[in-house]
Order: sequence, then structure tokens, then C-alpha cells
Amino acid sequence: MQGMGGTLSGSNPLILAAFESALRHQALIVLVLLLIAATAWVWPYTAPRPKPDAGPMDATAATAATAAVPAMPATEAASEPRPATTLGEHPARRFLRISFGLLWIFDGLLQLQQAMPVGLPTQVVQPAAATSPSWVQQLVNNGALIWLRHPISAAASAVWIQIGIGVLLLVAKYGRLAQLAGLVSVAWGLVVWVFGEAFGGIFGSGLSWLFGAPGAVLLYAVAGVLIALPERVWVGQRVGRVLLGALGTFFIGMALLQAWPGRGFWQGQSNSHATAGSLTSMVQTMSQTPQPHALSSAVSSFASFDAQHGWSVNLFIVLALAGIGIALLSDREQVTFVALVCSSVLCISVWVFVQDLGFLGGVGTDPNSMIPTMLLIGAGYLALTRRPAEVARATERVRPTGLRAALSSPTGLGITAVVASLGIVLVGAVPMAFASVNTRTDTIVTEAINGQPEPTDTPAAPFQLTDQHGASVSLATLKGRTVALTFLDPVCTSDCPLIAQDFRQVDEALGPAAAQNTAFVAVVANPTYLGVQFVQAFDSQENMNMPNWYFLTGSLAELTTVWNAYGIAVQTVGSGGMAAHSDTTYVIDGAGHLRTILGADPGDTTTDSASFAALLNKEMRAVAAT
Amino acid sequence: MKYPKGTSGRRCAAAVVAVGVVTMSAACGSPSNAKSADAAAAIDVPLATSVTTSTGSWATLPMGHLDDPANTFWEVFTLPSGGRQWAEHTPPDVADNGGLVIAPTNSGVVIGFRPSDLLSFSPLASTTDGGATYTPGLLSGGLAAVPDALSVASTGGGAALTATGVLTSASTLSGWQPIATLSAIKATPAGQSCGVKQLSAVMTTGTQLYLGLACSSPGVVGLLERSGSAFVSAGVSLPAADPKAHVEVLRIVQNGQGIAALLGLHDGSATSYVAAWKAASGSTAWTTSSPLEAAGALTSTAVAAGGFAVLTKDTAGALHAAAIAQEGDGWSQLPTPPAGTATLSISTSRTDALVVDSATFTDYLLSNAQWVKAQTVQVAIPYGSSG
Repeated sequence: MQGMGGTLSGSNPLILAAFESALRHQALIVLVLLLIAATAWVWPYTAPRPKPDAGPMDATAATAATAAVPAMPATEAASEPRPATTLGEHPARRFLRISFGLLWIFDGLLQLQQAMPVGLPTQVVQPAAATSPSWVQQLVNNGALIWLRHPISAAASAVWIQIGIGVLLLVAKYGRLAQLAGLVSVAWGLVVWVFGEAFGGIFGSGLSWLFGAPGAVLLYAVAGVLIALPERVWVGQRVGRVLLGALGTFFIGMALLQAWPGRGFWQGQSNSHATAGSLTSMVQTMSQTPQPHALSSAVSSFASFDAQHGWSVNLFIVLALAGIGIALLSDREQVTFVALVCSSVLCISVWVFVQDLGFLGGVGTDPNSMIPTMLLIGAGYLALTRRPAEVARATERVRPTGLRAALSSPTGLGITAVVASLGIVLVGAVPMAFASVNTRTDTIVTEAINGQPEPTDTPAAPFQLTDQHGASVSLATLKGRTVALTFLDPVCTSDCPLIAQDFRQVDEALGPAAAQNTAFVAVVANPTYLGVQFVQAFDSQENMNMPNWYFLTGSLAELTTVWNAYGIAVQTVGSGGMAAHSDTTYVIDGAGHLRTILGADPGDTTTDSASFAALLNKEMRAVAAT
Repeated sequence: MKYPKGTSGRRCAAAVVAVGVVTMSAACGSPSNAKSADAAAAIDVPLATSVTTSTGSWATLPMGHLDDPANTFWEVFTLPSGGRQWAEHTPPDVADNGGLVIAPTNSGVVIGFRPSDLLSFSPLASTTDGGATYTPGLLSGGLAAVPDALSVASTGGGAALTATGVLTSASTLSGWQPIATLSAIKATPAGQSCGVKQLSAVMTTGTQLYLGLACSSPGVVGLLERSGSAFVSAGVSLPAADPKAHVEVLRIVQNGQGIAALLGLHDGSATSYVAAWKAASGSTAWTTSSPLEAAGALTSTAVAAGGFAVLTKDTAGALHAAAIAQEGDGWSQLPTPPAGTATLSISTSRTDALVVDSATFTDYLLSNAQWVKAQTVQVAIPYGSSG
């Protein structure tokens, strides 16, 4: 009912069923990919060994046969001379690759939460941009719009993209494959950072390291850049020095930002009527997130503590950030180690008591910034203090010949694993790419809010009312046209303007040629504001100047007759509420028969509304075609 | 581990550059800092207010979930002249989440709905029976977000402020016509002298139209009157006021045959309030009160014939109230209002503190220098009905 807030929850059965179905289908494709990969791994080991009495083999066949023997890589076939040693993967790089791989997989699993299809853009993405400049909001809203047009495929795609990137990082250990994994991580990380985190809020007010600046996923992208560096760059301490230097500078900058006066961080909350400081306010909000009671209590306790000691808490944070920053810039291993320990303690404390673990509440997408910050500092320390282990290397590389031999080589196994991982990424990326270019909105959103269209075939109730120009219009005068009939409040603040725009969209989609054969009709649904001047004001506000648009009104008695005939309940709510009325649209054929009844509640967003327009368009075409 | 010499210096330089960048971004991104740097920022005049006329007192207050605009509903409470009980009489059938503006008439009030969400124009509602029934009307634009955005003369004509200019109407509830745009007012000699930041109040007596402005030129009072088709200064000056203060006309009310105005003076760190009176509309002589120094942000204003009340809230959350009854009086400090007071209501017979807490309205009556709880009203807030 208009004025009673039609909303779409993440637990809507239709949305949930479609999300689960999409995930099941994609999981099946992933399973097939893994089976192919497994087959590729096992296949070489199923080759028959050459029999001892077999005839002489040529050199190629002998090499291939040797290469096909399990547990003996092809390179070992040429065992002379004794292999020299080379440097293996740097421990810091391995640490980054594995830890961020696991983080991506964890984030992918978080995308499985049932609220993601509709909750992510409306509860996470758009609020994240709320304090940012309008150009950031515009950019983020465009991304959210793409998601909301195709919520099921977008949400399911995000699962596989992130799990795929995680697996890719775990299996791509060496060379260009590892670099590729790093770059894929960077690319997706930046997409999420821009469209999902609104640039981590760096352009908005209230920026703070405590709240996740500069964005958790930007740190994933930084890790991806480091993983993508050529292996030779990791030799020596340069990467460690640069990384720790950058982190030290970042910490000092964040300390300064935290100390900056007038941003609300130096105040707690002197009493319940006073304005809460920025940190107190944020932690109070976080403590109300759905979560285990123990965690909620801990966060709430910290909020109370900060309310009473806001100045001291901020002083501690400023000093801690500055101290860690200076220590990371210190050039001394022991001091750097102390910074690593202190930053870990600080990060975990902030993660628990301020960021509230980050991923709870039903629409959490990642564990926020503290864990990746710790990992980057840890990687910097390892890069500074450890050297890669020496591993044996063949002096002469013998290229395996034949597919079976190639697959059994270490390189072949690695490539198979990477290809399978990339396949998982593509299972998500391909539908996501299609969704981003497909402007036809999925009708599932409106069907989830309003139910399926209800077919019928009964004579439509006649009416004779006055249109926005003062002319008399009846159902009989519209005979021969396919009519979309709805009921709108001309002084409504929410749904009615959206429904009018839906009608407009459908009219545009049907094209000018259809204007002669279609009519978009609204009847006033307000018991007080029913004069022609209100209808005209509404049309002017909504720019409803289509020639086949009729906004009809009449006396209260005339309107009540029409409302009753079409089962529209109109009631005064009072106390500042708008007049409530049923949101229903009827499609009437050229013979004056009701053919389809659609719930017309446009939901909370313009995309819900666009979904309704897509459905109405489909139904009007179907009625016109019969 | 000790790093090679020279590295540390480069890292320190990089750190200094980065810190500089952060400093600049913090300075640019800090809203409160930006605000304090702009001493000329307009005073935010809250819509919560009350007005007392010969027919009674009318108040409009936000109720519901005030941290959620879609669940904040503005309610109208009335106290008939000589009556003892307030009653909720909010005009029906329009969502009022954007706020209400009350304009007193000879026999009641006209209430304007501010635009909210997707509604861009302002429906009106007029009552002559104390809010029991309302007659609908229409303003073709959206009312500005100030309590004196709408005025009705005893002859029935009206004046209204929108974000873009001034409208007038011969019949109050319809037929509004623009008479001046904001840019046209800025271009007048009086507007140029003022350095108009925004239109802040309007009042019509039927024969004369007064326009209040927020000025960026220090010491200039932007109270204009219409002369022919032009707006000229109404001649208010503030001899005792800080010449560096930026002045904003907060309220304008009819006072018998004359008018009264409430002015806000802001010098970048403190705000004070001055009442000004003109005995007759043809007169050019103004009298002004001594300034009221009030701590904190303006929370509400209240008006009665010739008198004003001001409610402020300091940074610690404490409320402060003061009132001035009529020309020639000084400001009198009122006892600290009860927590949650949304506005005051002043009349010759009583002073009320109107307190709201979600769906509960409570009236405290000032008696023997103490606020005494007099009445509680539960309001059926239509949560979830807007959006």
C-alpha cells in the first residue's frame, strides 16, 4: 500500500530462491572446471609404462615416456650435470600471496550471505558514499544501479570472482603466473575500492584510520601490486624498505589527521543530551549491529569508555599511530620489530572494539582494514629481514614433448591449477560483464515486492472523470487502446512520482507509434488534495506531458465510486502521514476487459521502479498482441 | 638492521610531503573548521516554533525518529486562547517529513508543507476552527526552510519564500505569482549593500511587504520593504551592536499596526539576538532591544504579538531560554528548560516549554520560576509511511 512502505528484504523468498539457484548453477560449472583440472592432473599418471622388452625408441618418445613417469619431473630426466641452486619465492611474497589469497576466499564466502543481492548496494555501497562529493556519489550510484538492475547475477558473480582470485593467489607460485594473479587481484580490488567503498571515503568528511581509511580493498590492491612484482625485485631489501617507509609515512599522516581539531575525535559525550564525538558515535552505531552478545557488549563498553574519556582515547591513538609510524621509518630492525608487535596489538584492538570485526551484520563484505594493514606490515618486516631459500635448479631445461608429458611437469601442473582458478574467476566475471552492459532491468525485483502479475479477463468498471486539462475522459473514450490504469496521490512524496515515471518509461519503450494505441491513466487517490490544480502541479513536477497520459480527478464521491469499483482502499493516516492507498496497476485491453493486475509498489529505490516498468512493458505488449 | 646512509633522509622527505598532503586534505575536508573560518555563515533558523495570536497558540515540532528523515514527522499542536490543554491537529493527507511552516491569519492559520523526498511543491492547509478541519491549497513552488517562509495578511493576501524568490497571492491558497527572484533582490541597492546570502523571512500586512535577509556585509541589517515594485531598506540600524557582526533577520511578525523583527548577530565566535520594533507601518522610526548573548546553537524561536523567545543549546547539550515580551522590555532569562524541549510558547498569560520524545509530547508550564509538567499527549506517529 502506498504510504505504508513497500520494502524488499534480503530474505525475500523469490530473491533468495533465485540467488541460490544462480549459485548452484555456477557451482556446477566450477565443479566441471575442477573435474577437468583433476583429470588433467591424473591423466599423465595413467599412461602405460614402457615394457622392458619394448623395441628401441626414438629420442622424442623416450623423453616423453620419461616425463610421464609420476614423481619425476621432466627436468630431472636430464640429471647431468648436478643442478645449481637458485633463489625460491621470497618468504614475504609467499606470506602476502597466501594471506591475501585466504582473505579473498573469505570475502567471497561473505558474498554468499542472503542479504547481498539487494542489501549490498543499498545498505553498504550507497551509504559508504554518503559523505563524499557529488561526483563520487554519482560514480558509486552508477555502479549500484548496475548491480540493482541485475541483483542476482551480480551477487552470485561476486562470490566466484573473489573465491577465484583467492584460489589463484594460492596456486600461482612462480613467474608470470604469480604476476598475473597479483594483477587480477589489483584489478578487482580497485573495482571494489571505487564502486564498493567509494574510494575508501578518502574524498569524504570524517576520514579516519580507525574507520577503515583508506579502504580495506585498496590494501588488497597494494598487496596485489607487490605480488605482481618480478621475482628479481624481491632480492635484497628494497621492497621491504619501500613498503615499511610508505606504511610509516601513512601512519604518521593518519596520526596527524586523527589529531586535527574540529573533526570530533577529541570529544566523547559529556552527557546523554550532548552531541557524541565522532569515535563515540561510530562505536555506538557499530555496537547495534546484529552480532553475538559478547561482542556487542565489548563494543558497547568501549563506546561508554570513549564517551567518558574521549580526549584521552584520541591522544593515545594519535601517539600510538605517530610512534608506530616513526618506528617503521626508523631504519632499525629491532625498532621495526617493536613497531610490528605494537601495530598488531593496536590493529587487533581497533578491529574488535571500533570496527567490530567488520564482517558481521548480514551485509559485511570483508573484515575491514586492520587485518590487511597488519599483513602488509608483516610482509614489510619479512621482506626486510628474510631472504628467499635456495632451491635446486636444473642446469639444462628439457622441454617435455606431448600434451601428456607437458601436463605432468611442474610447470604444467601449475598452469593447470592457474587455468582452473582463472576459470572460477571467469564464472563470475562473464555474467558480471554481461550485467554491466545489459540495461534491461531484471523483473525479479518487482515480482519479489509485488508478486507475479495476475491474469484475468473480466469487464473493467466504467468511469467518467476529468483529466488534467479539464476535459471529460471515460473508459469508453479509450476503447481500442491498451490501457495501463493506476491510482496516484498528486501530493505524494515517494511512490507515486516513481510510478508515474514508470509509466513514462514504458511509453518511451513502446515508442511513438504505439501512442495512438495505448493510454496511461491515473486516478487521483487522495481524499483531500483532489483538485485539478494538484494534478497539474504533479504533472509539471514529473514532466508528464505525453499525449496519451491522463491524470483523472473528480469530486470525492465520484472518486470514491471508482476506488471502490477497482478495489482501491484510500485512507487518511494522520499525524503527518500521507494518504495511504493501494498500489495497483491494471492492464485493460482495447475491448475494455481487465487482462492483468500488477502490484505497483516501486519499493525503495529507482531500480525497483525500473524493474516494475520492465514488467509493465512486457504485460502491455502481451495484452496488445492478443 | 641499519639501512644504508641517505635512505633515511629520502624517507623523511617523503614522510614530510605526505604529512603535508594530509594536512591540506584535513584542512579542506574539515567541515567544522570551514564553518568557523566563515564568520559570515548564515544562522540556521530551525523550523520548530510556536506562534501566539488572538485565537490561540500554535506550535510545530518534529517527532518520531529524529535521526531518520523518513520517520521524522512534524506535528501541529494548538492551544485555544484561554484554553488549558494542547491538542494535536496536524493537517492530514500530505507527508510532512520536510517540515511545516505556520502563518497566522485573522481567524486561524495557514500551514505550508515543505518539500520532501520527491515532492517539490508545497501543498497548503488552512483552518479557521482551531485545526478541526482544513481546506487544501497550493503553492506552486517549494517553501523555503525558514519558519517565516509564509505570511498571510488580514485581507487574505499572502506572501511566500521559496529557494529562488518571493511569491505573492491575492487569495492565499492559490494563484501565486513570483514578484522577485533571489538574483533580482541581490541586484537592488539594498541587496548589494547587504550582500545577500539568503532570503530568511517574509511578512505581509496586505498593504506592505517586508523581506528579511541574511547579509554577508558586517553591520548591515537586511530588512527590506517593498516600495512600488522595488525593495528598499526598511531603515533598521543597530547602534549598540558589534559593527563586525553579520546580521540575519530571523523572524518578522505583525505587531498591532506595526511590525516586530528578531535579528541574529554572528561575529564568528558568538551569536547574540536583538528585537526590533516599528510602531506603525508608515513610520520609519525603529526601536531596538539590548542584545541577548546566548550560548550555543539556535534550537528554536517563538513569536507572539511583538514578543519573541529564543531557545539555544550549548555544546554540552544544556538548553538556555530567554524571552522578550514587548517593545521597551529587556530580555529575561528563563529557568533552564526541561531536557528535550523543542520550542517555547509565549503569551501574555502563560509560558510553556514543549518537550518531545519520540511519540510523546509533554507540556511544561512556567510557574513560580519553575517548569511544572502540565500535560502529556501520545501521538500515533505513522512510522514507515514515507518511503
